[in-house]
Formats: sequence, structure tokens, C-alpha cells
Amino acid sequence: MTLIKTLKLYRQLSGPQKQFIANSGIQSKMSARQWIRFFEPLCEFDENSDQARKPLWTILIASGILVFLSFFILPTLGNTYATTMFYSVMGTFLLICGVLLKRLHKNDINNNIREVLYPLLHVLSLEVGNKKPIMLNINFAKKMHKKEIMPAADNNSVLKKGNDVYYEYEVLELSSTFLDQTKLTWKVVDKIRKRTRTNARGKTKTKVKLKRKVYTEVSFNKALYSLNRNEHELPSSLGKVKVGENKITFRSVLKQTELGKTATIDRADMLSAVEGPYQYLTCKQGVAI
Amino acid sequence: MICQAKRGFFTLYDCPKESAQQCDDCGRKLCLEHQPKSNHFCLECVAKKKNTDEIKDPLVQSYSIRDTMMKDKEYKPIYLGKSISEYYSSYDIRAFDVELASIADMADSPDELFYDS
Repeated sequence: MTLIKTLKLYRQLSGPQKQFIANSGIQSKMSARQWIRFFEPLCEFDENSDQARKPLWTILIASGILVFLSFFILPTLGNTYATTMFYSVMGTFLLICGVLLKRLHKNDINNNIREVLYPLLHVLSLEVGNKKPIMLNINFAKKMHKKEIMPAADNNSVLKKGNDVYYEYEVLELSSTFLDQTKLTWKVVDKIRKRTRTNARGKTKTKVKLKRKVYTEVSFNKALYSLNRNEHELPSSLGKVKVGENKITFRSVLKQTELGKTATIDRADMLSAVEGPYQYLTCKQGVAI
Repeated sequence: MICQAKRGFFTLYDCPKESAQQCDDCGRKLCLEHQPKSNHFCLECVAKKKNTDEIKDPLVQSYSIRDTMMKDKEYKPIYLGKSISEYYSSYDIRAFDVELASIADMADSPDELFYDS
């Protein structure tokens, strides 16, 4: 039933939503409400798709085992018609299951959209209001468009275990302005190290290590806010603080504890990075902005 | 009468919308965004009654995260508005008399578009 519902939900998606699935990303500027309306059907589809794939895998494996056992059992029965029928039915069934699984896998949406971004957009909708836009740049592309940031390391060094190449690419960027004119930017960056080495037998082996970092920048309007203590007395957990002419900027970096391309970003930590600076601010009374 | 709920997540604001319903739990008069037509309880009361993980609706979940943040994590929210009701007495609010011109941004489209229950 979930499978039928999933296929139905996919059909109901709009053109841009299907394009989002195909590209694993989007770059646009819309209000919080528009983003929520855009992602709502996608999240529902993704949730159903994830649920549908699990039993499909179980059925596929069980059918495979049954076919394998039939190679030994069916010849002993000696019924050619039954054997032919069994293999035809099972073959068609396995083919359909395989095609469906491949299709669902191809249309899979990164869980960070459903579990992190979608709830965060609801949180931001309370702070941003209905008119102010949220700029989103999402790139969960399965085939990564990597940007080489460092050339291959010099392999002459004795300490080097192989040839290291470093890449980094932005998975997600969100920026918006709150109603109190506070500017927020979240950037999720994947840093990848690709190490290639040749072992004693002459085989070339490649190891890829991924580190995900969340960069948060919050700028407060100095016409409204001021620091409630000395700049140097602020806790280091808040990151770097810069008091400019018109704004107070906090920059912090969160290191993702759960590693991997599909690992979910810590939503609570992202919110804490914004909540923290607010604690050290005081408002100017009677101000109109 | 103006809605008695407070908007915002990191900061709190007065909701500028007209009230349309009364919550059976807290008795506040609220707009349709804070208490959808078919609901007897407001979203904030629903959020307070459950754990964040148990809530499926992301908007109610946002209110639940806000409530947890302000109570359990002892986050002192900045209040930029005119009148804070007793409903928020459990929050350690820092109130400031500030007038936000952009507050009008909050009520530019019908409630039904935002929350369908």
C-alpha cells in the first residue's frame, strides 16, 4: 500500500519539485511559507518512499533465495510445465521489484531535507515573517561537483602515506533577515580528503574521508542591540565576535559528529548557534526600526 | 481584539492578527494561525503537552522546541512588544519597548494558507 501511495505522491509533484529530486538541489529565494509549501509534498513523498523501500528489499531477497532453492527442488519433481511457470512468474516478479527499487532509489531525497531543513523552515517562519525572503542553495547532488581546493600533495615526503587531494563543496546555504533585522547565514560544507596509495603488490587503493562543518553567521543591528558585556568576556563557544560600525557579528563553526554524506545535520546545534549570541545582547529602549 | 499569542522564536513579538477563537485550555483569544478553526486547543498548548519527538506537525514542533529552549535551557528571550500576558510567566523574559516597522510583514496573507488542520 505504501508503495502505491509513494508512486501516487510522486505523480502529484509539480514540475519544479520533480526537478528538485532530479538535481538533488535547488537555488532560489522565496518566503518561508512558499518554501514550506514547496517542501511539504516532497517530505511526504520521501517518508513514504523510505518506508516502501524496506519491505521491497526483504521481498526481493526472499524471492531470490526461493529461486535459488528451486534450482535444486524443481528438477526432482519432473514437471516441466510447473517449472516453466514458476520461473516465468518469479522472473517477472523479480524484474518488477528491481525496477521499482531502482526508481525509488533514483528519486530518493536526502534525509536532511525532511529531518533538518523542513523543521528549520518552520522555526524560521516564526522569526522571519511572511514577506521576507529566505535564500536557499541546496546541493545534495549524488554525483558531487567537487571543487579542488588543494593540488595533489608532494609524494616525495617520507611521512606521506599516499597522495592526498582535498575537496570542499557546499551542501546547503541558507540566508535570511529576521523581523528585528538580524541577518542569519548558515552554510553546511563537506570537506573531503581523497587519499590514493599504491601498496606493495602494486594495487592502487583510494580512501575517502568526509568531514561536515556548519558555519553560522549572525549579524545584529547596532541600532537595536548592544552587547551586555565586554567583547573579551564573551564565552569562546560563541565563536568570533566582531563589533562593527553598524552591526555586531558572531561567526561560529560546528563540527558534525555524525559523519557521512547521508548523515543528518544536528538541527539543535544549528539553533543553539543563533540562540547563544542573543543571550549576550541587550535592547535599546524606545527604538523604532 | 488582537491575538494574545506571541510570535517569534529567538525573540518574541505581539501577533498583529485579529483573534477569532478561544483556547479551551489557556482561555486566550487567538487568531486562526495560533488556533486553527477545527482545534479546541491552541498550538502552543498542544506543544506544551507533548514531547518534541512525539509531535508530527512541524509548526507545533517549532513551538515545542521554543518552549523547551526557554524553560529547560533557561534561554532568556528578548521581548519586543507592548503587552506580555501571564501565559508566558514561566519564561524568563527580557522585555524592551521597541517598535518594529516590519511587524506588519506577519499578517499579509490569510491564515488558512499557512496552516491546514
